[in-house]
Amino acid sequence: MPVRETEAIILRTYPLSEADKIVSFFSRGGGRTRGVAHNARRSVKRFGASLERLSHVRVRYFEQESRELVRLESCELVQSFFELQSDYAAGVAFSYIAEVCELLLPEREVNDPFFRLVLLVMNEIGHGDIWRPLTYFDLWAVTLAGFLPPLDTCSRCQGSLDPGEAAWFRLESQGLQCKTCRSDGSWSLSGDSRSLAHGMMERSLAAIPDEGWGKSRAEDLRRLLEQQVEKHLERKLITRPLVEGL
Amino acid sequence: MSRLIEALRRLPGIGPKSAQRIGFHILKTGRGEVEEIAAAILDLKDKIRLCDVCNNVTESNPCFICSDPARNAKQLCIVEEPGNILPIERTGQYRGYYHVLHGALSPLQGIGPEQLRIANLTERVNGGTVEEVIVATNPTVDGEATATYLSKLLKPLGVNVTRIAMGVPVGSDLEYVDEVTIARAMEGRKAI
Repeated sequence: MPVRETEAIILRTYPLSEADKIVSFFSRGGGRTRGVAHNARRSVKRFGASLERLSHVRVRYFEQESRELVRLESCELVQSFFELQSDYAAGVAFSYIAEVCELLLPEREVNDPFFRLVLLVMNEIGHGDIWRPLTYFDLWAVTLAGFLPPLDTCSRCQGSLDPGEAAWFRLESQGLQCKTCRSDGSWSLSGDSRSLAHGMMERSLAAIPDEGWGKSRAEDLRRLLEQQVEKHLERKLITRPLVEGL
Repeated sequence: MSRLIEALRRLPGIGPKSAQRIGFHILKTGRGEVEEIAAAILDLKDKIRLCDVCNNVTESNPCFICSDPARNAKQLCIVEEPGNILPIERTGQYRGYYHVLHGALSPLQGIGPEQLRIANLTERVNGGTVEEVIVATNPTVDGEATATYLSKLLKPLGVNVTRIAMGVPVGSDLEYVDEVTIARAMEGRKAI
């Protein structure tokens, strides 16, 4: 039975029988994994607050080839985001990140860039407004998953979209469309939001000024990215309406 | 038999093997006992309802706690589930009234403020008798978010909103307690 010890982020937990928990976590060395934390519901001695959602932990677990679930041996807190999530908006944002990670990441596939993205965004949410880090998360999550549509080309006529020019999209379309090719009922993506997306692709999150951010900024960009996530998953995200309702 | 096993499997904590075991046990049990179990389940559905005042499960409306005039009407304790009332009652330390939310804010399960029983809570607090609201939601991420949300909602109504203390359990060892719990215990320390 190989033992693994790695950094991880707790995505969510489910009750299992009388005293145990099933823990879904995203580990740096093993990707998204699910395991059983024995007696975690009855006794807080072994796991304490380390199994709370989006805790950054150091986890030790046993793997058995024939079993889908690993066995969690210990879980030590590296960084807790417990206090932060007592704010409703931050809690909803964290839950959204957890849901996207859980549904988007393939099981047992190491993805260090995604791991670093989640940690970065969680820390940034702790420093203030949620909308800038959440937009950054959406953009990079879609990019790392490999289904970000070209932001500078019309998917129908293949013509280039000028910087600062608005583009249009809808769930059924393969990418952005220009003014001429757009169909009825399309959502628009402003030129500002396209420029912002380029800025976020080229610079670190810390280099993007946090002034002037609010829910309305880049709302169209987030809609495009979240639609891409849902399209890829072929299901609606539970937390998305709550994020939109903030 | 397969119909019964399928029905039993819908119950929480009952897997296919347990459902099969219970099914065969019922088959061996006498008719009288089976009728008693069936009648108890039907009675539960027919007679038990939610208290209009506090949302606790009850046979009479209002429930026995809400209809007790000897209780302290100035204190109101908010809990997530009806099952949370009993442990508080067992302490014998609290003599106020309760309010059951039937859940906690849980974005991952799609539970927002609209899904909780908050509307009649604000009505009760607006009534003017309540002076202190004690938020006794679970010490989890969702419970904390609910507590903070309620605090922001209720404080403008002119009541004192308090949160139950969190920290080291009696009989435990500090060596095994995690940082979050110790930090909460230090925050909530009191003079002796």
